[in-house]
Amino acid sequence: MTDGERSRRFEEVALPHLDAAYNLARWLSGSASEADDVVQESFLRAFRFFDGFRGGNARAWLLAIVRNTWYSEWNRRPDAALVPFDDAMDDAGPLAGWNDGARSDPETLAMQRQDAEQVHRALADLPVPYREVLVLRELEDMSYGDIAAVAGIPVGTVMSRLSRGRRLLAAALRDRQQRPGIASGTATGAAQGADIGAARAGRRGSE
Amino acid sequence: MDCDEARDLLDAYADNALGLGEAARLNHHLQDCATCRAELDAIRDLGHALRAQAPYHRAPDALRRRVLAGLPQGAAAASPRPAQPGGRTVGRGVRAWASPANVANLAMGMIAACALVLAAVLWLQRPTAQGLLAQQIVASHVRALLSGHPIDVISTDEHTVKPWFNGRLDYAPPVVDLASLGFPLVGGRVDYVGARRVAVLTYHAGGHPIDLYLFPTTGGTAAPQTRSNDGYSLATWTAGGMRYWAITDAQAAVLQRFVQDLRSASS
Repeated sequence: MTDGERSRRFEEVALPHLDAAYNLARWLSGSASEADDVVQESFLRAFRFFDGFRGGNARAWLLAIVRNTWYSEWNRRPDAALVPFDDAMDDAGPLAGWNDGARSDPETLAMQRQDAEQVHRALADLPVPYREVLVLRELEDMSYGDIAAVAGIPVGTVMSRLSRGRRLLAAALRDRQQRPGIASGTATGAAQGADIGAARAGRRGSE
Repeated sequence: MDCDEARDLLDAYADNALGLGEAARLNHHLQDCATCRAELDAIRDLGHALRAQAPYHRAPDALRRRVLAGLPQGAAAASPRPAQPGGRTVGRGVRAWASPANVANLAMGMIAACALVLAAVLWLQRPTAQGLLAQQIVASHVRALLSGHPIDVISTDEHTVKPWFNGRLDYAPPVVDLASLGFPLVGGRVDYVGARRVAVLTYHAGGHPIDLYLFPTTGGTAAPQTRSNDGYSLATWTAGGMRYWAITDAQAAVLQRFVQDLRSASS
């Protein structure tokens, strides 16, 4: 295969997933310019690894490269030390239920009335391991198997992260709804704080 | 099954990721348990809220051009040196190109990028066979909507729609229902496109119709290509000896998701 043919085949296979790659990079990094760089670097890497791609799900293959590129090269922010966290925390303690807590009103199904900005902020504030499985599942419509392949975790972990991520997100949205006047960020602070604590405890435990 | 066990399975149930046996057992529990039903509804509502409210970030056109220009084909065209994809240090990537030593390369890269854009513009203006077909499909789609008679067989059941084509076409189009993925099949019709009778399946995406044209082709398989004509989003690909064309007035991202779901459901 000539270089030209290889490039053409690569473009056919990979370019249709450029939007998916960018969307994931945006949600992982939270920044347009970082997402640009991550995606461009990912496509260079993907081209380099292209001979190793044996057909199958090209989107999952490419998104795995995007994710690894971001984790290995761009994830240098202060809270980066949280990742990877101890997966044991996914199973630690009972999951808070949708029907737990102080909600006594029957109007529990208020998610759809959340405005877009609140949903955006709440998702952006979730710890990355939860954010990425939710983005892959809800925005990319990926199967558990494909999410597991992209994130490099077992299917069981995909399931528990989705479950816990959804409950953290719901709690954050509920907080925002009950206290609409409060500046964004405060509401999820508690959830994130608890999470950071759990992750640190998990890390200490494994050392 | 008790509530504790049910709770652990609700997310996978909402995501259609449970095995048949477990799904049946959970179904049984859900019939009797209003609490778990409410929890399942909340999971689904959250999913709807995310899909409707959380932005799907589409790649900017400038990035698409940069990615294309960054591939070794572009580099090879711009530079007499052979492309060395393996030689670049991981992580330096694009930024390294901007260093002073590489200003000449950068300039060449920009010329290559301009050439690509020009080539793309010329390509778009040339009436290709595919472009002509795309125009016919837009016309057919609009005509069907205008006539108020976009569907000949109204059914959400693939086992009703598929046999309906018997005797109306000289091939049997594959019919897949995607209702569980948010794209319910609403019916089918026969239309005349590219000098032949073709099957058209109509799906819904929110309030938008998606028409799927499919007919046999001799080509192999080809990944989806997208384009937009007169405000409509189109995608075309080949698989299993069929060429597919999908058209909708919904956002390109919706069409993309539809195409991905259809392809994975058919494979």
